Formats: sequence, C-alpha cells, structure tokens
Amino acid sequence: MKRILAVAAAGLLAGCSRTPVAHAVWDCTSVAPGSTSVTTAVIEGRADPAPHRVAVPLNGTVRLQIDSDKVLQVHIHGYDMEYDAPGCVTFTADLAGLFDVEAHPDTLLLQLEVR
Amino acid sequence: MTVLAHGIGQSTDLPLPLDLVLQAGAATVVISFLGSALLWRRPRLSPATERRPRSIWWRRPLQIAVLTVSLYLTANALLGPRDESNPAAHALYVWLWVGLIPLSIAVGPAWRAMNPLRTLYRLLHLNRLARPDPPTIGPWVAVVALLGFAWLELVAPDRTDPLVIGSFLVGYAVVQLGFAARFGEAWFGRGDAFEVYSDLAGRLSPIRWRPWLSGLAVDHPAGLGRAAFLAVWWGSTIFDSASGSPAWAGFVQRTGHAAWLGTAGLLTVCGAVLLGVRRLAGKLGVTNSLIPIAAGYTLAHYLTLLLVEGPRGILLLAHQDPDWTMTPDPRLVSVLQVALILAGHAIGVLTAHDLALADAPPTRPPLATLADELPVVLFMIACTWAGLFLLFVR
Repeated sequence: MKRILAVAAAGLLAGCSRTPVAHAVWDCTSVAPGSTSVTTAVIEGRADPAPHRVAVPLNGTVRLQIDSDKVLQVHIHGYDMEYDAPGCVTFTADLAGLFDVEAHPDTLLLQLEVR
Repeated sequence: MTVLAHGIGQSTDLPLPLDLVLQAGAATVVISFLGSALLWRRPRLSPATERRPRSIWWRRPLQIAVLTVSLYLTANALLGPRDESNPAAHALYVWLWVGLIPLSIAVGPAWRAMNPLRTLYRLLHLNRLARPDPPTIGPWVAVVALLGFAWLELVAPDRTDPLVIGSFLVGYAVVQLGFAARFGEAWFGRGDAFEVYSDLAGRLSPIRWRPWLSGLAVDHPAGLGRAAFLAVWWGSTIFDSASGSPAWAGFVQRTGHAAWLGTAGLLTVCGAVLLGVRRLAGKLGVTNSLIPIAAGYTLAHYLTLLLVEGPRGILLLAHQDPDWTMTPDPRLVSVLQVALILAGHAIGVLTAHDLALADAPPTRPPLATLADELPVVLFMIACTWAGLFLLFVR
C-alpha cells in the first residue's frame, strides 16, 4: 500500500511540473571518492541482481547505474528523480528513510536505506 | 519550499533498530508472564459498563456531512480525474482503513454513529422491506467483505485507479444495502466490515467502557466468525509488511504472476493466523484478546502513512496543491512503533489472562489457570515477535 500511494504522490509532482532535484548530476564520469556506487540491471522485466537493499550514509553521495535490455523509466522514490535506463545518476542522499528504486510501473530494483 | 520536502510521503519507514527490537522482544516475555502472574490474580474486566453519549444532537449533522463527503468522493472517483490528484485512494486506504482505528480507540464505535450506508438506509426507507431475522451469515459476510477490501488494497492490479476504487465503493454499498433491506438496520453492526472493524477497535476506548478494556470481556467467547475477521485484519497487515520486502519482490519477479502470488500469500497468512487462534487457544475463548494486538500492529505499521498521507488527502480533497508535508523523525517513529506494538501485546496478554480467570471455576488455583493459558501466551509472543521482526527486516 505504501509503495502504491508513493507512486501516486510522485506522479502528482510530475504533474505540477516541478524541476528535478537540483543537485543531481546526470552523468557518472567523475565520481567523488567515498561515494556509494551501485550498479544493477533490468533483464526481461527482472532486476539482476535480485532486489536488495543498499545502505547509504546520510548526506553521502550515491552513484546509481541502471543497465537494461530495453529503454525503461526508473524512479527513485522520495528523491523524486526519474530517468531513462540505461542511464546513470549521481546525487547526495540528504533525506533519511527507506526509498524504493523502481522501473515503471512497479518492478522493484533496489531499496536505498539512508540513515 | 524545496522540492525534496515533497518527497517525504514516498519513503518507507526505516527498519527498526536492532537494540529496540531486542529490548522489546525481551519486554514482551516479561510482561506476559510476570504481569499476569503477579499483578492479576482475579478477573477485573467484568462487569462491563458501556457508556453512551448523553446528548446526540450532533449525530444528525455528522451523518449528513459524512454522507455528503462519501457521495462526493465516490462520484469524483467514478467521474473525476483518473490521476493522482483524485483523493479517492487517500480516502479509502488512509482515512477509512487506518484513521478509523485511532478514532474508534478514542471515542468508541465511531463508524456506527456516522456510517453513510446507515444514513442512506434511513433516507431511502429501506426498512419497509425488512423482515428482521437473526442473520447468522452476518459475521461471515463481514469477513468476506474485509478480505475483499484487503485484496483490493494489497494485491489488485490498478488499486489506486480512482475508477477501480469508485466501482468497489458502489459495489460494496449495493451489497450491504441489499442485505440490510432484507435483514433490517441491525445488519450493519454484523455484516458491514468497516462497522465491525470500528466496533472492535472501539472496545479499547477508555471513555466508552468502564472499567477500561472491559469492552474486550463482553461478547465472549467470540464465535468463529470474529476469529476469522481478526485473522484477516491482522493477517493482511502482516502480509503488507512482508510483501514490501525486496525478498518478496525478487520472488515475484522470478516467478511472474504477481496478482496470483499476492492472492495466495494473503490467503495463506490469514488462514495461518486463524488456525493459530483456533487451535492454540484450545478450550479458552481468547479471540477478543487479539483485538489490541491487531490494533497496535496496524497503527505501528501505518503510522507514517496516517501522519503524512492523511493530511495530504485532505489537501487533495480541497483541490489544494499538496505543498504541506511533515517530516517525522525516524528515531521517534521507531520508538512509537515499538511502543504501540508493546502496548497492544501487553493489553492482549492481560485480557487473555483476565478472560481465562473469569472462565475458570472459582476453586481453581490462579497458577493452574496460568498453566492453561501457556499455549495462548506463547502464540501471542510469537505474533508480537513476528510483527517486530517484520518491522526490523522490512
């Protein structure tokens, strides 16, 4: 239930045409040392490796690389970031909580545990 | 406001910290055995007195207001925008399902006083058709209705689509009004899942019942129907916790057929809980003591949903941009969750003990009664540990 309402909330924000997160960098060529680097793939609608949880320190940098066999929309809940996979994003995890990273509509790829 | 502030409602609660879980797990055992053995040697919950409000002038305007809002929400769900600005999902899944529990615990069976279906029944004069019989199927219709709702909330594809929600609400109302037209207005108290749900949570109301908690000692022993209702209530919440985990998501992705697996999982968990309640209790009728455990766990599980998404739904209803949001501190949320689960467990165990003492012949020594309760107490500890574990692994 929580996850479903979350999707609704995210869509609403997109509907209000809010700007994406300001501190997100949409390429990953330069990665700061000490950042948390995650790479995952979506193959035939399945997360590979299987959905899992990644611990991230609060205010740490996250580099999230998603590969996939076809173009997908990836959504990072809470941080309200959406981008097309295959793709990569780097951002600062300045919000504590447990956040789903999903390929639309509802394929869970991983969860970011920020604390 | 920054963009980030809007995202709070989209996070799940952090897993409970290990130290809190271990302390709470130990506390459940201490409360269960020492509390029952030392503090509670004679039944204290009977005789029960249900206190009804003295003046009821507010009831009519409240019923009309709730009916108006319900009709608007349903019509808006069916005909309004089919996107996220529609407050239908918030109304059904947050206000009604979660919000009804704290409201009922505070003031008693709140939904009975404002149930829009009862108001419709009276306005349409459906009582002219009624031939009141004792409707023995009432509790089972409530169980099926609750299971249907839980399936919609947790498993159904497109469950936040306003059209799906609106159709569910219309279907639910037609079925319930049909039964009520046949069996009379008393039907709602037996067969309307939301009224039964609010009634059971209302047994915990301190202003409604004197002495406090004595509401759990009336209607006792409960029949199989109530045990099944509680099993669906508590079991579906447990299923929601478990199915939000990466492990479940991975399993579903490997096998496909998300809806079938979800349905099977939901039925399995509810069935297992029912089996536990009926088998382990043996001769002791302790179904009512599961009410505080279910209420405590549901509140803990949905705490942030209620605090964050509840007000957001009100803003949606008022056609406001849901700009306002609150940021519950994760540590505070964890502590509150553990406190709710522990409170539910403590009340449940002490109620079971009280009911067992009241049922035992006066000559039976209290320690022998305590020994009779052992399987029940162990079952409750298992339930509470399962709840803590699920909030720990998430």
